Amino acid sequence: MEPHSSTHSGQPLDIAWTGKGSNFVGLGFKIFFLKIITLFLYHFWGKTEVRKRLWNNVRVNNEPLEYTGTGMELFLGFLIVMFAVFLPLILAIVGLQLWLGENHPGAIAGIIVIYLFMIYLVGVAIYNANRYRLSRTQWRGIRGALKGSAWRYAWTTFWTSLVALISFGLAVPWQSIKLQKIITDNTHFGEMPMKFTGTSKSLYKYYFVPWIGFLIGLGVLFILIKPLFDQLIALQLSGIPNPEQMFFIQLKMIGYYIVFILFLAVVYAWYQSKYYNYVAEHTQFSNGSFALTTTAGGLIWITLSNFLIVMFSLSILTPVAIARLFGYFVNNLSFNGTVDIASIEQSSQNLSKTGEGLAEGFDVSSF
Amino acid sequence: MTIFRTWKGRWSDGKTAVAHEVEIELQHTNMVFRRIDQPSSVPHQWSYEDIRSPHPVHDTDDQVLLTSTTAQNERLFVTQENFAKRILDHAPNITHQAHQWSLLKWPLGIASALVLFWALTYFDIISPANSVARILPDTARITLGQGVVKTIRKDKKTCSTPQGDAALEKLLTRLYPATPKGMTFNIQVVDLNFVNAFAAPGDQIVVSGKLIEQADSPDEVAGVIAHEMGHSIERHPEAGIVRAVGLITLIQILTAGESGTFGDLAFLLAQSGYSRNAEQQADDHAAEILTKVSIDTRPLAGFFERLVNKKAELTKTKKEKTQEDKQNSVTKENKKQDRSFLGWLNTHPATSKRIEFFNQSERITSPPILSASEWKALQTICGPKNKKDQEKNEKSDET
Repeated sequence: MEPHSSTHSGQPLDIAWTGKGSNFVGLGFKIFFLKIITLFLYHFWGKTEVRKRLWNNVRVNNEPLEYTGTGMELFLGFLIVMFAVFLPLILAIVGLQLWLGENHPGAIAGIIVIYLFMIYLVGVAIYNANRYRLSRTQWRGIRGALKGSAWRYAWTTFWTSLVALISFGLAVPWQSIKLQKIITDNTHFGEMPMKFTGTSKSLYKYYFVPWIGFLIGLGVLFILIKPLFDQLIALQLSGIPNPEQMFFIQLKMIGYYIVFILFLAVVYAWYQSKYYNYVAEHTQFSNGSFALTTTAGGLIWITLSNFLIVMFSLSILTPVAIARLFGYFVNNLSFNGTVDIASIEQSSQNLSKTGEGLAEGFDVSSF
Repeated sequence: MTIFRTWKGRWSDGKTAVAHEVEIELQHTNMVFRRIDQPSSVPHQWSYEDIRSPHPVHDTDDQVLLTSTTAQNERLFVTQENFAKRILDHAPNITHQAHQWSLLKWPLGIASALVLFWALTYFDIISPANSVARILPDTARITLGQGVVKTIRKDKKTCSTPQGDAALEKLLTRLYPATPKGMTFNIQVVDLNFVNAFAAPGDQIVVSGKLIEQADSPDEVAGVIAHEMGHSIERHPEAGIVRAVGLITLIQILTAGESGTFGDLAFLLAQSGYSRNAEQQADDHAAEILTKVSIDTRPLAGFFERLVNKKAELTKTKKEKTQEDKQNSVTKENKKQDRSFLGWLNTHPATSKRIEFFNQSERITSPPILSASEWKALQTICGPKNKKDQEKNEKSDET
């Protein structure tokens, strides 16, 4: 076999999205109808159909990504988790209550342990769902792969969540980066690894905005609402309640509260966009790294409009919402540098026969 | 020799991510392509039968991605117009219909199987819950049963007096020779304030003190106990639990574990009586047991009949209530008491067919089960009978 010509090594990557949300309207209605006639079972096949179409609309150097998962794999994964994980846990809970009585301290302690274990399993679910999706993603026939241990990831998720809780959220960027590093460093396209070069240090200058914003917002909200609250109490104690006046005071309080929530949404969206962009920028692949240009406004608009689409269509148009979000990210994604395509070899990872059972159970798979 | 039109495409071998320009010919049974940079190499041949596409191909498509079952990681990407139309003429497994069928066959098949399964259990053609109940080990059945009894009893006491216990023992001793070999029952009288009796897993039977108190004769109590024994013999309580656990699991799965657990189980058990079929089986056992030990079945029929009459009376007074506006408090209390009678009726539908069933047997003249004093001891096992209640009952019976 002749050696690969040098033009193949060191090519730039062009990433493009060719889809439109409206292309997914028909699919939404079709899946809804098929779910009805198959007792909801088409859920798994429908999910696969949506993914196939999403992946197909991502073009890398003008060639489509391909999703090769099947509905049967998702369905089997779901069944296995239900019967091998959830059913035994439920039976353990019922058994404990039967054996010791419903309010026995031993039974309550046992049930708490079981619930903690279930929280632990959420991490396993997230990791394995990622692994499954990557292994079913192909470009030019080459598979993606997520190596590493889901249990290790779950353990890190578990204890860093405790730290994040104890630190009043101050440890959140540190936690996100730690978890992202595990995922990115284990992500491969074929046998070529990705590498995460980010640190939480540079994220903190962004994170202090929502964190302090939350405290200041809460303080301002308190200062604004306190006198209104006192007024309300005074009116009530005066014995001559004026319903109209009280209504307006309450309306004002609700108004302040809504402004507070909107303010939080804006600062968090701003941080989130900085976070996503940072993660992409610090994801290295071959001789380059990714770049992402999401904005707070973009994220808020997509989230809000998607919420309305899903709500008003009674979730029939969920595929449209998914496509819009997916498309937003792909549209803003690019690659700086070059990729040595000829040295990307097929993945040696074994393919699991089933997918995402745990993630289905906990509903943590977003696409 | 036929000259075929050629198409240009990009092919990757599935070993590396490099794509090669290829020239494609659609021949009679195969699609044949050759690398342009290696014109003298052996051409690749994909038979049309083996060709697959990740997406259904429509004849207006200007981009087609193909693979073959014989070369799973290889990909061929063609972006020339009309290629879709031509390849659709040959390859049967890339059409819209082929894709749709491969998506639908499993969910549709499984859904049909589930509907069939439901129909078979609904019409009692198969009963998986009963089969599981039969293989449950005794220790599990007894533990389960104790849990169920605990839930039924709540804070109510188990009734026991030396004379009452002796009387109950005597009644059971009379029934035992007729029960299946080696089977013993754990029977408790519990001070529940409604008329009912339950069979719990592990051959445990709970009879409410109220039921014994309201019974007219030991034969009626024996009849009710024999009926519950019938349920135990058939393992209906175990089957009920297995069914309930199955249902709860299903509910838990569908609601992602957000509903309670044991609360539901008790609730389902309390709500769901046995099926008509199960009741008939228990009645058959009851009739068999009673006849074997020479106890008349007619008193049990009489017991059912009284329940039915009470119910009719109750619905009648309800109607009367809507016509006459006000009722005095005495009748109200009376009604409250009458309602307690309906517990047994709710879980054991007293159809006229059933009454007829117990009435059809020959009258048996046999030694009485209990003497008058023993009967009195059994009736007062939960404490002395409330005199007022008794008087009221007699009064309402007269009307």
